[in-house]
Amino acid sequence: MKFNKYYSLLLFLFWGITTHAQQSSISGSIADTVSFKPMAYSSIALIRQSDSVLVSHQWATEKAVFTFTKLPAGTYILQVTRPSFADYEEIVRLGEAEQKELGTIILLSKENLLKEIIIRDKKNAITVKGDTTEYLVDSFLVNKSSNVEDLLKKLPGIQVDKNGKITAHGQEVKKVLVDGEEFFGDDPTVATKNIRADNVESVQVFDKKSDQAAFTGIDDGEKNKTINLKLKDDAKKGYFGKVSGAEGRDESKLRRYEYDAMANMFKNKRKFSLYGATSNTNKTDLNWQDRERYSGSNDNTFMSDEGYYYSYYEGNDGFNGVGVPQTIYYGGFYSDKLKDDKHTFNIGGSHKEMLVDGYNNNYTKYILPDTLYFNNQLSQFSNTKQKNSMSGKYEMKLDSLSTLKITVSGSQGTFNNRSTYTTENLNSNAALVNSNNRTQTSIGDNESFKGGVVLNKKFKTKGRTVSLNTNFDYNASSSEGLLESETRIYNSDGSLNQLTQIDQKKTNSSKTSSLTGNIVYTEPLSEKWFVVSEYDLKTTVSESQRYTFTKNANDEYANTLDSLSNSLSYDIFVNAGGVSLKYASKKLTYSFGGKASYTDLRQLNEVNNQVTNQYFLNLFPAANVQYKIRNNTSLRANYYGNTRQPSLQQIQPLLDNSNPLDVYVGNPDLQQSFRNGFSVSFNDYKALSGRSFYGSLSYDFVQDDFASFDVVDDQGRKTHKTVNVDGNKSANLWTNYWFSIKKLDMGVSQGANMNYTLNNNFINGLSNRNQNVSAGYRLSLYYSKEEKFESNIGGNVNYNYSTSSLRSDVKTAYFIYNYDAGFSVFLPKQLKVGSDIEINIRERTSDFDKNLNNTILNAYVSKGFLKKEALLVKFSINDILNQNLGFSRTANSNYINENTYSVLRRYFLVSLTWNFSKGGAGEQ
Amino acid sequence: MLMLFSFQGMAQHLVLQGSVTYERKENLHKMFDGDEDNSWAEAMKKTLPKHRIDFFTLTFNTQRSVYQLTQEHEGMGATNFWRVAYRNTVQVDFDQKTIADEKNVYERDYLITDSLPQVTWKLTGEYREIAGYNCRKASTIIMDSVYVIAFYTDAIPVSGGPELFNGLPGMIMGVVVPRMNITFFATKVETQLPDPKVFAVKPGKKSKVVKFAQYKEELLKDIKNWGKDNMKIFWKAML
Repeated sequence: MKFNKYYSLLLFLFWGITTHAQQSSISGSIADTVSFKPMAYSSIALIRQSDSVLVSHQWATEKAVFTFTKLPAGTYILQVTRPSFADYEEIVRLGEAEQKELGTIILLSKENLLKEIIIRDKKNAITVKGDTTEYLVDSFLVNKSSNVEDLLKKLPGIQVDKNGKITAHGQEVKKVLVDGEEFFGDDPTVATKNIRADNVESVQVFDKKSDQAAFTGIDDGEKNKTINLKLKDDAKKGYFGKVSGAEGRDESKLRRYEYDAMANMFKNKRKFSLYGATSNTNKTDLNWQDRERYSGSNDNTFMSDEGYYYSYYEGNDGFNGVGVPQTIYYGGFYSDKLKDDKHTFNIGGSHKEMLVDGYNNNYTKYILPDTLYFNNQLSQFSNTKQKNSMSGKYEMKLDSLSTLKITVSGSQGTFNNRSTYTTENLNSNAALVNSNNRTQTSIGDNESFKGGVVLNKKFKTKGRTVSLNTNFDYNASSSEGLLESETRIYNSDGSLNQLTQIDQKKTNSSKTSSLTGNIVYTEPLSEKWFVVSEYDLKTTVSESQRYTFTKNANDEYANTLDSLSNSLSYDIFVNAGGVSLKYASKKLTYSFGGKASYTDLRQLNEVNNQVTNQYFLNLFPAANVQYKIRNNTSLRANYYGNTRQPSLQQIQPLLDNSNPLDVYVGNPDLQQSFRNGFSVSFNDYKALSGRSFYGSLSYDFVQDDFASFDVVDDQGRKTHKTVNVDGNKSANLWTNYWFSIKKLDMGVSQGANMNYTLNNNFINGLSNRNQNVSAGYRLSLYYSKEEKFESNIGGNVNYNYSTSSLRSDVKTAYFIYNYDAGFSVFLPKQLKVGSDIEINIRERTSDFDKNLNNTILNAYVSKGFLKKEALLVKFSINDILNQNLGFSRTANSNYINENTYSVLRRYFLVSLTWNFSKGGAGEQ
Repeated sequence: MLMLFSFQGMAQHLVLQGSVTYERKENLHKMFDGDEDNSWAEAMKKTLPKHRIDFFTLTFNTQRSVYQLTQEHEGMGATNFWRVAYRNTVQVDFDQKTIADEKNVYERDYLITDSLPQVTWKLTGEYREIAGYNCRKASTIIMDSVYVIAFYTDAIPVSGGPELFNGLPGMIMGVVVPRMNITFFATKVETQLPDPKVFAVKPGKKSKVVKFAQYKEELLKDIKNWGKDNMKIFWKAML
């Protein structure tokens, strides 16, 4: 910064001089020593002596004369140059309004070259490699507080004068680099005065441009003496972290809390972090930013061709929003890069425990050909789980064209789940047909291990690449639990017809391991054509045991119930190969091809030694075209087709008696289905105007799709089976248009979407066509002033309409409206106030008459202390109106389902957060 | 004219016309300095090659020059966002002291027609060789804050150079812009008589014709809310 000001000031001064100039001039002519011929095209430069600024320049004319006019008075260097001639320089003192005539200037041809002298010193502390002399700093005693300038003074062969001018080996040093990079322009004192000597590992002095080119990405290759300061690795060290605690009460005066502590220490490229947190609010994991900073960036990131970056997080042990969680978790992460990032590795571990309890209620209306009936299921659950995980990654650049990546991860966990259900089926007159009460428990553990090796290699031939990928995957779980169930079936007059009781113990265990190998090879056929071929091999071995026990005479669960027990093992071997042709030019890219896979499945039932063999051939054709209309404007079209196999569960289900009113039956005649998908999308992004549009249209149809074949008997008992059906299809339109109103600093985002699905199923042997249409529109406005306030307001409306052919008289149609708004105001003295509101209006359907509208209002006020809000006190209230509601609605087949579940409602928190950091990249 | 300058036989001849090929090299990884803790920056660095290298040709005689892209770095889709004004076509008329600079900035094409920009150069009296030519060093500050180093040779008595760099006592053979991580270095000089058609570059029909001041003003208005890196984009667009 100092540097910039300095030059700006100079520039300003020159302007001043030029504008107030008196009109003086300099003229002369040029000839050479040999022939005294005029020397046209010689360069005549007029340089101001005080600051070396080129004031004026001319090429000598054919007669080799020159004239500079309109010059301000001053002292100039007249420099005449010409290749193969020695430079001619003359100091010209020009007075006010003086017309100076310099006469004929004679150029001399070059003869002498200065010889460079290299001084070599042979102490241990000083090494000479080629043209570079390197001083190891630790060998030269310097004070802790001294800067590089003090250090240089101590190095033999280097002198520093009182103005900071450095002379190395007799020549002036005009450039000081830091780790091979130019520190600040070319004023060497900026670096030498500002870097502490004890952060420097070695000082390198060199005098050939090629050496410098080797050090820097930027080669401005001086012929001068140059000093490079190599910093110690630990000069880039520091730490950052935060500690935060929040306490509060909810609507029923229960304690609510959130505690976090995390720290990251770094030393050059080595990072080590630790984190831990506990809460009984919905904050069950680190947020995105903290995950990034403390738990290591996760692997699920990729970059699209356009440079868009995607990152997602696999929260498989996360919280799905149903119930109220209580969480504790902690972990650590270590990463390092060695040898100019040639080797990268990291390792992380974590432990997490979560307890979730609550209720989950489902109200469903089934539409049957001749009647309707209702199913209500109320459940209470309490689930706990804990998990220990480890993961590691090692990446190595084998050479400039090849990389090797090895990943391993593993986890081990336990769970303990308990649920109670009350289910009742009512007929169209709301009379009870049957009911079921049951309690299910399950206690168990699971473990998993994954390992992978990926080798990517490019070749010198442009476009030729090979990628080898091997993965090993192991998953195992076992559990034990009890099922207690009572089922009642009623007569039409309401009297009890039948009572069935179940009291059983169930044990389940399964193990699956698979090994996958994959090779992809790309070969260029020409500049624009490529052929991509791939081959996969996958072998999977799995076994599963399910046993059901009933009580014996001693009240012990010791009698195996064969009809509900089995022991199965599977061997699955998949062979797949594919080839596709790709064409890539600047504007147009397309590819087409396909993949075929052959699956050999062998199932062994160890109880009756029955072996089942199945073979499937799956096809996956694909084609896509992308046309780049302009930079950031493109049109794409896509086709894919894929076969899908029926699952074993669909063909030969394992009997499950947990709800005797709902039974699944296998279908051994089930065929594979084939899906065709088409899509077209268009995107246009205008960066300067601040406009972006994205639209996509897709259409899918499925041959031999899997459909449910349901039979409901007169006692309300359901049996399900899967059958093949033709004619299922869906279409989807999605658009989004974003633009900014520059005058108002406002952003506007709006979009419309539409969805159509047609599904076939069978009810009591009759075929049924379900059609569902939904359409929505959303609009949001954003308005913010940096460091002052942020605000947004928006809303969306969705309409849903569904019909079924069996009951064309029954139509389900409803609107859902959502509105939201929020603001944050940044007041002086690090005071912030903010609030947001969400209003949900769900039109009631004729089927359910509960009020499902709600308004959720949140607000906070915070005050920061210290620099950059390093200490932050915050008071927040969540769901001020106490109207939060867990809700979802499904209406796309011959049933309509509304699901409501428990969620955390009103609570307040008072929190204190302390952010700390020292040095390096942690300061943000 | 040419006869006149081949008399000594021993030395570099003066080159009054021909073409200079420049290698424009940009360190793409440097864009992410200071973002090391960011998985996005890490992913970008893995996707992008360290350097993007394009070749431009400056065809010149003593009256005019045309600078245009001749060989673009291939396979770099992911960098579109930062590729601002990177395939400029610059025409200079040394006699009239005018320029016509065609730039593509995101979705817009501009044709800037204006007088030759004046650069205040400092001559620092250092030397190096570029593409077989002895060059002298000069430096300047552009856009009030961007430091530029240039190397020029008096063996080509034309005060031109890559992009809009001009005004030195000789052809500019190398330019280094440390703050923008960009270098331009001549790799080849050819001395054949240029095809006159080369100078007759037709600007794109859709290009918006503007003066420098208007171009600068429009650009600053559009990128003012682009966050901390917006000046980097601005500098690049102004180069």
